[in-house]
Amino acid sequence: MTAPLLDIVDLSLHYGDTRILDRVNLRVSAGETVGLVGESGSGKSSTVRAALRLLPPNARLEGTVRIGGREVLAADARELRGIRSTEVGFIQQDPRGALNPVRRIGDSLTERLVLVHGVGRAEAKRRGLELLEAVGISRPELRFRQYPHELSGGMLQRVVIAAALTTEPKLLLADEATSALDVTTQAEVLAILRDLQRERGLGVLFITHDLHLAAAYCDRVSVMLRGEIVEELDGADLFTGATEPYTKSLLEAVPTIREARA
Amino acid sequence: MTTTTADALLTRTGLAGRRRDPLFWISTGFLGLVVLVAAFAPFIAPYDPEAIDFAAIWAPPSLAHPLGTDQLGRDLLSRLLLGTRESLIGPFLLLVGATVLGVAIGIVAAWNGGWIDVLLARITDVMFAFPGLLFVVLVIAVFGEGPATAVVALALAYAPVIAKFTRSIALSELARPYVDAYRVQGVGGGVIAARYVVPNMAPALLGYLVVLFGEGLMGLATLSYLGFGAQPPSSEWGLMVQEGQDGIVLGHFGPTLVPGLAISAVVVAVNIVGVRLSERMGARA
Amino acid sequence: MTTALRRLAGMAVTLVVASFIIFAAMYAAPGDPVTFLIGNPENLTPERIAAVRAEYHLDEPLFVQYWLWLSGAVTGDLGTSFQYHQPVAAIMSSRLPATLSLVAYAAVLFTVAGVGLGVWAAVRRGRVADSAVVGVTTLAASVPSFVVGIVLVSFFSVQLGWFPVTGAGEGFADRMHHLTLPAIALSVGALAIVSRVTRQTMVEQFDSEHVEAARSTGLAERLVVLRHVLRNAWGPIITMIALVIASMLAGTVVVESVFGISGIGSLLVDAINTHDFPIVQAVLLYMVVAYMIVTTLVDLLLPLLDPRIGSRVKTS
Repeated sequence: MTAPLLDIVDLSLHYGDTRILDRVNLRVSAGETVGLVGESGSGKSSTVRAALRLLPPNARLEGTVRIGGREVLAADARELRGIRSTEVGFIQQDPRGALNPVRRIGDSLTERLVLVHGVGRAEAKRRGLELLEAVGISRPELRFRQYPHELSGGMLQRVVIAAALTTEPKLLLADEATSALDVTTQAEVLAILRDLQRERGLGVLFITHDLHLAAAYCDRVSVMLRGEIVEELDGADLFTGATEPYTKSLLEAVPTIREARA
Repeated sequence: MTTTTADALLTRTGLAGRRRDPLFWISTGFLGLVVLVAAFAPFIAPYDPEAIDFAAIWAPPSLAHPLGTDQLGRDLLSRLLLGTRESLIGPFLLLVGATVLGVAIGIVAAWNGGWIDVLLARITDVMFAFPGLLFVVLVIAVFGEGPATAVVALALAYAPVIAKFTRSIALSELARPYVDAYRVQGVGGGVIAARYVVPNMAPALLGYLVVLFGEGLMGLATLSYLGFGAQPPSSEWGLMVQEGQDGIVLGHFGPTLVPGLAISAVVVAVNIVGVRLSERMGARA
Repeated sequence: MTTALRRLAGMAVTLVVASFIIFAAMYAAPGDPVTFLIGNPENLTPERIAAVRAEYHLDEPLFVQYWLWLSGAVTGDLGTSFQYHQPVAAIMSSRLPATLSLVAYAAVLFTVAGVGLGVWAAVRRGRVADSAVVGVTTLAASVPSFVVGIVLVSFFSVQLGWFPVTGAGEGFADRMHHLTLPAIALSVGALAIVSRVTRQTMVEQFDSEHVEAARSTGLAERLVVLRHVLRNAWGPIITMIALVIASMLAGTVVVESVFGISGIGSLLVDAINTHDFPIVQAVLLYMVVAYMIVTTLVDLLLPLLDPRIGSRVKTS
């Protein structure tokens, strides 16, 4: 078996005396979707940001994070940029925030290729258009020239996914990637993500607060509480196999689909 | 426009820590000293500030004249000390006038809403849109130069700014339950405003007004420097700078630099105090 | 298109109102202009007074006089100076170049230095350099510009002899030499404002998600700052720079007086002191027009920097 794409071992995060993460362990292998669930403030987003070292300078990190086998926490600035630019794609919750509002879609989409990898503009554009089509965006030529405020949220999240895939990373970190979308768009975006994952054999870390979604979508699910992973289950077993009282209480708090639709 | 210096310091804890804050206390102490000097100037000043001595024109600093003399042989130290009075009273009067007018308009606008509010918004828009100087120049051109006109002109220019600020804090103050409680008891609007709303807003206003005092001092000194404010033989600092300016080419820097630095020192101290006060009161201008 | 028209109409109304206030204020000013016009009291004969009153339309009602003035102003005829007995327009145009080159010089100085300091403080936010920039520029802004000017003249012109003491100079190099100290004195206050706005908007941008997104792609920090943080902060920065320039076009009065530059500002001071109302009116009108032109230019420019602005106007 090959090394996992994302390997987090005993990751702890402190701000001064405040502990945010406590010895978190997580692995994502190729072709696998791993869910990370928990309430807001439980440390889900901090985990993924710590893994990419996107936290403010006063954050103190301990443990190890390997992405594609490369050590992240000990990396110097150059190595860190290398890991970020080739190994991983990051998808944030709010696509409207994730795209620079004053730049054209095409610029955001190809920026990484052109400025980080030195790909020519024409080639970058060709690949960008290809990816826009791959994520199911109609009239990619037109979208390429438009600004974020001219597109719907669902469309923007597809653009963000396309942008994350421009450099063909093997690992996607999706932080509540579909939570800001309405239910129908959410289903469409998830289907696209699933297709891409199968085609490209991606490993996906899927952060969500939606337990139904996690159960249906993820191969494995880790449950997080106050900065700790309290339980790890197979997605299919999430609703039946939980043993931790916290996981159970979370599950009980979730309205069933029938109730929600009533 | 007038809060630029305030905001800049507000966003930072500043050069000194928040707890001990020596900068604040040094500034406060300095200003206290300046006020004492203003109060007792005639007793401290070694000479009559208007006494002309043609034998001692442009005299350099000496035991007899610690800061030297100006182009008419008048003792610079005495003029500086006496000048404290007019230099501080001017901005104080202008601030009192602008505050009474501005707070009244601001509260009425917040309380009544309607056309008064709209009118205030229009006036402040115009005031913000056009260079503040234009208005002051207009008033001075019409009513002629002099310290009183300068004070009135600047007071009228500041009143809408204060009114706008007052309106914004008055609106949040009026939304608090105690106002309705008094109203239900049949207490009149004017009484509620004067007795409860204004005192409750005072902390938020205070820091802002202190900073405006610094602006006013700078504004009045500038007008005097241009010859529109204080008139000779006054020893208002801005006027002193202007009168002493002829000495520069002759190499006599004191008569113009000393009052200039005095203005700057007071304004700097006032700004530091004002900004720290706003910080402590938790008010954002 | 309609918004552009509405803007133009709004400008026209503001201009008419402002010009009327300016004219009416001079009309209401105490003192009979005839006495200033004739000057020498021995010439105050009834015939002379009547002739002067007719020449300057002083017997017409306020609105007629205003109309005569405004229609003249539109065609470039701003009346005749009481003091110099020359067309106001000619006096103004001889004074404008000095003022405009002073403002242009200062604008370059405070834009480059202000944005530079602001970027530096923002990149080093929360550290010593940041506190130093904010503290020093703020304290510098607490010093009135005439004091800054006088300190500069004393030290650099008189003591060291590096710069001339007065005047605006002839020709490009000489003018730059003459205007360096005035431009610095004019820039000090603006420096604090511009660096503060730059720092503030950039610090806000640093926390935004698209900057995090850009960083997560492995983009070099320098490019993140240039292409995302600073790029998105330009709107407020340029607006503030333009507002400062606009107020400078009318606010060179003090610095011109300190450095003995015969520009528009010193013309205004002289005119007020000599009750030369046609010149006061013309200069005030110039201030208003200059301010409106600059602010309108900015409004037209901003949608190019931030496409959301243009579309917001369209939808509202």
